[in-house]
Amino acid sequence: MPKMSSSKALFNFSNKVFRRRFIIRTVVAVLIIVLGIVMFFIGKNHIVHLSNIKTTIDGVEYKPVDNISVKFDKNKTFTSYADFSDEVSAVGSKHSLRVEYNGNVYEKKFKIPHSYRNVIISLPVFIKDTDNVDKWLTQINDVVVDDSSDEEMSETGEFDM
Amino acid sequence: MSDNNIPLLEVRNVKKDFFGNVVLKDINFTLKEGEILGLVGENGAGKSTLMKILFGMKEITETGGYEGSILLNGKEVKFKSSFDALNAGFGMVHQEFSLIPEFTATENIVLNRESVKYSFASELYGDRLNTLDREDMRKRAVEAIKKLQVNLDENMSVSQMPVGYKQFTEISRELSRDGMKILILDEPTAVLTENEAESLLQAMKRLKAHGIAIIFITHRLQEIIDVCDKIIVMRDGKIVEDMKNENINIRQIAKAMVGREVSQVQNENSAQVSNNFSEDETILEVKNLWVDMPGEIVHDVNLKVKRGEILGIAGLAGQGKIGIPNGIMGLFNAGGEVIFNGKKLPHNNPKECIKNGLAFVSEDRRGVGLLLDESLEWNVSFGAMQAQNRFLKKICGIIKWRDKADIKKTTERCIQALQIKCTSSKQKARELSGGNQQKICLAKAFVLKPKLLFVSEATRGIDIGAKALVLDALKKYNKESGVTIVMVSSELEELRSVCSRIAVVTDGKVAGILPSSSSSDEFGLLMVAGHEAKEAV
Amino acid sequence: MSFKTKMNNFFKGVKDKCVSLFKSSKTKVLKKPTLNGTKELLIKNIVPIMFIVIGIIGVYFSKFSAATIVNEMLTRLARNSFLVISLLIPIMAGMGLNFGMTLGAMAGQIGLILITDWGIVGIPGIILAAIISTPISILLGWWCGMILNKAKGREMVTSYIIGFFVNGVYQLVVLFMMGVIIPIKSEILLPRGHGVRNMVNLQGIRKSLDNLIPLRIGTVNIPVAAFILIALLCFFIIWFRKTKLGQDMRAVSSDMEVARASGINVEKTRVLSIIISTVLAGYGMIVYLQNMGTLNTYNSHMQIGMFSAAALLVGGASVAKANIRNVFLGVILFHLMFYVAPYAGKNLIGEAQLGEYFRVFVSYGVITIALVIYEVSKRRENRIEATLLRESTEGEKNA
Repeated sequence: MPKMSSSKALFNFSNKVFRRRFIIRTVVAVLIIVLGIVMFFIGKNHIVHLSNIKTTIDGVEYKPVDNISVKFDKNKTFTSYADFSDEVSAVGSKHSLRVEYNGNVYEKKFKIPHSYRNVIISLPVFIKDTDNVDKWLTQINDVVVDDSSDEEMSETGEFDM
Repeated sequence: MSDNNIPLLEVRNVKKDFFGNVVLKDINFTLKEGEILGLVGENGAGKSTLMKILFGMKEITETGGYEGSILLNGKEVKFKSSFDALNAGFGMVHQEFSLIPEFTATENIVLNRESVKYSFASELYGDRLNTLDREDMRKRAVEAIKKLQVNLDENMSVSQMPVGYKQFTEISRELSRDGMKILILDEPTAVLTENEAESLLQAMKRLKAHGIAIIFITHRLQEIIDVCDKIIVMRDGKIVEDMKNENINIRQIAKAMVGREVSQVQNENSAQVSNNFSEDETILEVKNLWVDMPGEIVHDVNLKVKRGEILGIAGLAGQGKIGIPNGIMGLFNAGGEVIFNGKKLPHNNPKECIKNGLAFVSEDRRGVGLLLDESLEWNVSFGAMQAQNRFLKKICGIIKWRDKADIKKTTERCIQALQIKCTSSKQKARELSGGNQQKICLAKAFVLKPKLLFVSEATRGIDIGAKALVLDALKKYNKESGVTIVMVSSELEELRSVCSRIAVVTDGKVAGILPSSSSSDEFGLLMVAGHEAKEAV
Repeated sequence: MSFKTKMNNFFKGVKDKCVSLFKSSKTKVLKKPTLNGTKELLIKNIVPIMFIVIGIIGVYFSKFSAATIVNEMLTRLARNSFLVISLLIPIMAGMGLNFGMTLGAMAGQIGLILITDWGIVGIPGIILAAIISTPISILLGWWCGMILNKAKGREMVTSYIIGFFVNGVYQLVVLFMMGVIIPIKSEILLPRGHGVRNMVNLQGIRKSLDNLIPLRIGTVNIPVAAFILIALLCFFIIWFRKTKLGQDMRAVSSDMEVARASGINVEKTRVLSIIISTVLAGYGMIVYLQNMGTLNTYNSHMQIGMFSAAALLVGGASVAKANIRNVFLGVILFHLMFYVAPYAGKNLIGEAQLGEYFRVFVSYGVITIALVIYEVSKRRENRIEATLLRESTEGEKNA
């Protein structure tokens, strides 16, 4: 009977060592891809504007609320004044917001959708309608553009180490 | 226990030709386990080719293979590569060491067969990511060295070893292979001192006890007699002697190696030639010459060349004969004393040599002899132009200009005199055949009008017809102009037909000078390690 | 003595040293094969010694406090060491200085551009950038290695030119494809719709690695996480040297033909060394840029190769031999000179510009000197070896 030359095939599954290695390498490759995806999600940065400004939604007017104490995620509690907006960085998708006003505490844990880059959280709406996340969490579509006019590549700037 | 009737190795009717040029024919011999076979022969006899066939080297497989068969333990084997030969149990130690200089003896002995310890990384990228098991490597190395019983420190770096120990490391490497049965040693003692050679011979005898068969190629006939069981002498591609080492002496072997009948005609020639010079005048005296030319090391050459003679320099390859003219002419680092026409010549200064009347036709035609991409005219005139300011005319008394007419005339005269086949004097040197290229090299040397001409391997690579022409040209030149010629050649017959005296260079020294009418065995004896010849006589 | 005379004497001393080095290689070889111990040591390590001297002079004249210098050197160590270490493996395989590390740097930069565009920040951003850069580095390294195999003996020059060529491809990708074929939506895109800006603010990952494990001793900041990463890389290199692959690379670098004859796949081994180097250079560039905080999209990678090579040579490495000590010593000495020169220049002469010119001069000069010294000493060694060989065989034969 002619001897089968199994070493010529590229994927030589009959070989025990190859089988083992193939599995290990596939698992490692998958792990790395999964790691990448996980990093992609937990590292996403959103710029959140906690705005205390008058806003109108569906014809209903929400007035700014003065002197409320705000705590976003693990940041330090700060005071939000009427007609002001504060900017925080929000990394990842799960976040929490806690507002104290008039002795009442308003808290909500929520998720920021991944594709949102710049986000406005309207504090007055939050206070009025805490559970309706979509009402007080909106995305800003306009991308903030830098004004620095550097269209052309600069000359070889040597030694900017 | 192997059957004593079936030899370990049998070579049957092996023939080999390189595109029609037959280099081996009717090679038949056998080799038993634990036998040491001594293989001798002049250069060009076919020894290296035979070994290359045995070892499956690509010079053989890529040039049409060989005819005949090789049998190991009665079964035919055909090697497609050296690795096949290695796996079948052959080991070969070449003359040029195949060692990694920065590695220790251990690392070289197990090179690419290192012992490894498992590491997980090998699952990710394969076996090469396993870590080395240095302790096991050392053990294997020591085991191999023990078989030789030499005092080799396995931790020593190869680059710091004396040459003999490098040789032992090479052999240990072959020995450390599992299943190694036949060891081929190609001139292992050429680079060893006497003591080291002695150790090696003792080690070889010990290997016999392990059942390892050895094919031992050497020029030192005393060694053959000391260790070999069988002796095979090759000449011109054939086996001329296949004898047991019983009551053999060196003379017998030397005669078989070199022996050709010297023809009547050549005898007459040598008689004629010897009348051409005055016995007393020495034109060139060489004292304690050493030359550092890789492959042709010269240690201590003493020589006197008589004015007007044609002196031949013979010797086996690598023994130093080619180093002599290269060293005197300054192409390689040299030292010692060279006195030409009473004047001491400086070393390492080719220009001075040419200025003083020496010329050299190098054996390296294409590398040293010719400007391949230039015309014949350029080639012929260049040397003289550079060193002697010939072929130049002065314009306005200051600027040196090439004298094209003179160059053309001279070149055409040379072409005619030497019968050089070319389209014109303006043809590029690269386009000529080997023989004609050689003639151009000669022409260039003649144009220099030297008083002494060195010619190295004048007819190498030239066909028979051209050979005769070149030799005739030299003879004519010597006769007509009285120019002294020193000819270096590996073909003894050629020297005997042209020269009056022939010096034999062995082991980097002049072993002796004989008149060219001397018999072949006398030359043979001088070639195979001078000091032993004195013993034999 | 005025400053001018001082400098003159200094340079004269350097020149004399160099001249004596060249002279000794011509005349002394055959008569006295080895110079005496300390002189030999001096010549072998002339480059680091020169730099120590320059460094001391520079520090003195720059009038910096010890704390400032230490702080700055720690920062630069953490920033540059990874890149310089990536040069070690090709040297081990006999490929010389791998100027093709710029290819890895470009791959790393592409990773960073993408994560910046996607808004991924912090350590996750860095990890993601590294993951993205890896396949690009492997591909570029493989291609570069294949070309270098065809240019055996001329690897350094070839890799230098390959760097320029791939820079062109990189610019094609970053200046034209990004925004068009490769979707870029954030503000790093130029207003005209395609091409990435000159300077990309890496605010998101700025100092993420450095500040991961902060440590402060007095006024000195130590970026612990970065050093841990570098230490891990060192362990990798040490481990790698012990593997069979590492041994094969050493064999290939020492004598290619002997290695080939023994069955080692020389070409594959060489390509692997370049691939590893390129991948490491990619990661190193990410480490470098997270410390800088800004990406100079079209220029950062080009100088990296030259400076890393220079730093390695300053540390006493040669084209054929380099180890981890050379890396750290080299980074410290080279960057010390780099940092201190403009300030020293300003304090000495009133012109910071002189210091700038000095930097340029010394950076390129040191590579030239190191390469020349390497060649000269290699030839000297070969000649000594030949003489010793002949003398030993002669001596023993006559014995």
